[in-house]
Amino acid sequence: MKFRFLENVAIADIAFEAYGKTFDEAIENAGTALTEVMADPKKLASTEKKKIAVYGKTEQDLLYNFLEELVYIKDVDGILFKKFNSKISQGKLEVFCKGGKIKGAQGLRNDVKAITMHMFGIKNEKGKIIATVVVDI
Amino acid sequence: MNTKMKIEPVSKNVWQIPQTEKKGMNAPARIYATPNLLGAMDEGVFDQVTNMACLPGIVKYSIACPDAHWGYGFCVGGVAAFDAKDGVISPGGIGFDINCVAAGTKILGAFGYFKKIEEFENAKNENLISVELATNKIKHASPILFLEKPVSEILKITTGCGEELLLTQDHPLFDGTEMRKAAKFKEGDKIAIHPFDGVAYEKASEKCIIGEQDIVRVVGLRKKLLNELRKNGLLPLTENSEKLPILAKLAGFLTGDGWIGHHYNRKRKQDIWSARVIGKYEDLMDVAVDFKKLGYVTNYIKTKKYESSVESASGKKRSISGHSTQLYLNSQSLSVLLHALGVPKGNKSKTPTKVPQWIKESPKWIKRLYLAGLFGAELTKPAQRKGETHRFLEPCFSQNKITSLANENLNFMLDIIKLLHGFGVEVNNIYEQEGIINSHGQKTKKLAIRLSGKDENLIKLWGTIGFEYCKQRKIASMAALGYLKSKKHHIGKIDGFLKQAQSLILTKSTTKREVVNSATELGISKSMVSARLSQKPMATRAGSGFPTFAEFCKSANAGNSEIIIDKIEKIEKIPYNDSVYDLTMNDDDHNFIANCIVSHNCGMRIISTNLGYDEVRPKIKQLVDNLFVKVPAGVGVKGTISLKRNQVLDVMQTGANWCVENGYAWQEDIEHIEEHGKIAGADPENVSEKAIGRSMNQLGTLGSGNHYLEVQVIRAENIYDRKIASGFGVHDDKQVMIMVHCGSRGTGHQIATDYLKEFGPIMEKYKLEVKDRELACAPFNSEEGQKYYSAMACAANNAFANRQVITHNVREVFSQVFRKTPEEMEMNLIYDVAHNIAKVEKHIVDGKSKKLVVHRKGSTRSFGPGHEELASVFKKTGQPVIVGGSMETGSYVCVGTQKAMLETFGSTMHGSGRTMSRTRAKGLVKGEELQKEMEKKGIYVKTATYAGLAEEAGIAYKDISEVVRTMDEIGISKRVFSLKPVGNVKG
Repeated sequence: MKFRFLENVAIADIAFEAYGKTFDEAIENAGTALTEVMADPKKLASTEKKKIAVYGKTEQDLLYNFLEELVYIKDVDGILFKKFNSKISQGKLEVFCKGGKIKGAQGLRNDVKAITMHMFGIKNEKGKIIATVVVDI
Repeated sequence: MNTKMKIEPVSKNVWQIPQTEKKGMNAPARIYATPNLLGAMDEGVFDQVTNMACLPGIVKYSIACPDAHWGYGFCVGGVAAFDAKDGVISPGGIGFDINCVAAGTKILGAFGYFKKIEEFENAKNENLISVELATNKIKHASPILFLEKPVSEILKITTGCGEELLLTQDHPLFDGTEMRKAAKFKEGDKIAIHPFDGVAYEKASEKCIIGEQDIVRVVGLRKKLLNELRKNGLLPLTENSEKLPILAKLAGFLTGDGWIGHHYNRKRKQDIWSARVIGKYEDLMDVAVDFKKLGYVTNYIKTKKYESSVESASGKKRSISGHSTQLYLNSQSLSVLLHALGVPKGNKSKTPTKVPQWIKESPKWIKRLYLAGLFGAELTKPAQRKGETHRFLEPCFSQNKITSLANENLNFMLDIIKLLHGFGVEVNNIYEQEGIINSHGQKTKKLAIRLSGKDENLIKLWGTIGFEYCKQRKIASMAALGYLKSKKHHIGKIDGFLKQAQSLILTKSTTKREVVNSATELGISKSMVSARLSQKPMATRAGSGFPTFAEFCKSANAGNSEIIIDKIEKIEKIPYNDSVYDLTMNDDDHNFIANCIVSHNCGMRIISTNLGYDEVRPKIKQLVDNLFVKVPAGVGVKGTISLKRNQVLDVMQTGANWCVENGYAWQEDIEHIEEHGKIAGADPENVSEKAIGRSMNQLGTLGSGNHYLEVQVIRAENIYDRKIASGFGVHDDKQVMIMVHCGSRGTGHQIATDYLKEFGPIMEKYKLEVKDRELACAPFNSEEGQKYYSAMACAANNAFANRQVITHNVREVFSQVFRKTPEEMEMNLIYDVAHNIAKVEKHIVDGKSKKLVVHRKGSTRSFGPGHEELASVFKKTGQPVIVGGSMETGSYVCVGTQKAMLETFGSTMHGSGRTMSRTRAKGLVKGEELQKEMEKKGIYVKTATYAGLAEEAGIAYKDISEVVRTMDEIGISKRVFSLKPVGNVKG
């Protein structure tokens, strides 16, 4: 399982857990889960490509800044991504993203306004990386 | 109950979690709910409302309203108030750069008095002198927020005119073109000053100046006239009446350039009184504004050609012609009052003029207003004798009276001299001249006072008394005053030089020759220095190198407005261990005069229509479909207007007012928006480029989640308070209304995200601990707290503007569909309330008025009747409270109460509150089926997404009627009417 929506965590908002064997994989799956909140990825084009680079002291900071950048790009450039390929190196996270323009897209869902700090985190549980995210709707 | 915490009943439907229930609680937590609603509240509410109670500086208790449910940080439906001095501000509890001046800084008021800045804590709404930055013209504005913080270092700025100001580095100052932070100024830079010093404020007494008998003595018992004065708050007239300062100014000016008279009307069998004022058109407009403040309307201002002849006592005739502009006031009561206050009536050359006794006994600042009004009419303006480029002529004040009134005239002059002495202003002499022959053929004598023309005397005259009403004299006197102050400051420096030189000579550290030489290098007169060093008495002179008045005016841009462009002579950092203060002004230019230096400083709405449901029903699909196009909703949509960066900054600073200026609002909409559509203190400098970027394309968009635009109908049986409902614009059964629920969109969330990140690491610095990272906070009075407040105000203003643009588009769609203008359909805004916001408000705590930072997250302000911050239309009733329900069940409009002020910091619920998560609701309900079900019930829905629609199904929400009734029964907000949806645009 790449990610799972948590049913009774955030009443008015949406919460999910994203999983991965590595931190990179968990980050990629968190990106997909975030897009899944906003649209059906299957109905998004793959015409837009972008490299997102964010910085942070901890893995948690990197994840937060990455997801926040996705929300920003959605509002300013009108693009949602469905494929992610990430590379992490000392304090820097680079993610190659592929997706499509929102304008005219089908299968749109909820507009995410912000990534919240509530329950936010990334942990290693017996070799499995779990990222928990609550997004503000 | 979804908690193990101990919950104690306080009264019916009011519950409390004691402070002992969680480690770190600084106050108990209160919950307003019926036992049923309490039982249905999710566990998160109890956890979060107690977390809120752990925040530092919390006052009384944290609050959860009946619609409360889990939120991040604060629970939604949560309220908490923090002491503005010691408390915090938290983005989790919803969404200003504190830049200050030192204690003791004199702030100039509109009535020419000054108060020290620290005295403004309880003096909100006072009119202060402010500058219109685009034109450098003087205007009036009021402080709405007072801030205080301790600092350890401060800047001292000294200007060429000798003005000094102690302020923090980030405090903005005006350079005549723009506001810049003090730290960005350097020595030699331009700085705008308003050289008028004013006089210290003294509290006026409750002494009665004019009672009924005083009026009866003038005109006899005329009930209508007396009632009019009473109605306008002018009878009885006490010294501390807010209208007395205006009357003092007018009494002085009309004594000089006014006329009050009466004629007998046979039909009405009484004297008919009226008044006229003579002056320049622009000055008379100021008089008209003051008449309006007293409650009277000027009849007209007329310019007439005149030709007349004046005969001097020697029999020489002179014809004079030109244009005369006069203001006509036909109000009898105000004319009589002005006469009772001491303005002579009829031909002034035949009537004695006296300084009114009440003026003689009044505080100095009221005396100033009388004198400045009189001088605005009668004192000569600053002038120079030909060839005297560094000095000014002695100002003259004269009066013509018929010969038989010579003694009375002398007494009037002596009284004026006595008043002047009170300001330290000296008079050289009184002289008498033969006057003209008046219009009745009587000889007159002119008596004149010649004031001392010494620099020091003129600084006192123009710096503490000055002129009122006459703009020309005001502007000329400020130029002259600026010049004299810079000359005095220059002489002061020479004196300092001489003193130092003398002591160095005494200790033999230098010689007279060396001193004289270095004086010459500094442009100081050689002969004067030599004379002084030889102990010869000689006054210090500025020296020939000092600029002439004309040169000064050119370099200081003086003579065009009351503002002088001075230069910064010195900037020094000095240690300081005290509080600094700032005032936030209710005005776009955000400035006030400090020590003569010009310095800085998601909700809902409901719109009514006169359309009936029968008229709307056949067109509901067309209406909702068109609204769906014109009010874009859903993921990543762009608004109908896109803004440039500078327009975004304007919106952030001016809120809904931007919409008025750009044609997206009716002027009258503004009065129907909380805070008049603009939260003061917004500073886009503290907003990130990301937040600005997210705002460029989102104005006029609805968003998604629980945001909606609904067409709703009122049924007669759902009106609970007909009188108040009628005041809010409800008149008919089946009347159609429009409700909008949305916020500041991406901008507000970006700002909150930015500051949550910034607050995280700084909490250690301020030794703050919170139970949840979403409660990250900073002391309200810290630099970070103030920055956040100013950024949050930008977000709130953005939200007001967003809902206003939506309103504009709704009006356009209705107009297209019903082929009537919005005005014909009476599409008036009933009200707009914010429900995610932190605001600085005054509340009574332990019997004392305290300034608090009230955080409302998913909670609506519920101010009761009479609250000073409410617009006049809602003063009697209290403010409308808009409570949005689910799209299936309907919504309510309630009204704020006094009890809310006492119990909940003037706050109540904002909606019905969710009981089910989005993910769960989506699992239970299918969007397409729900849409069909709703259509069967008579609700036509157009949605951006079926999944989103399913998440907002009625079953996911609490019973709104129970929620609203809970607060109604407790008395926090009273139900006025409820509405049922018939059309819905869902984000």
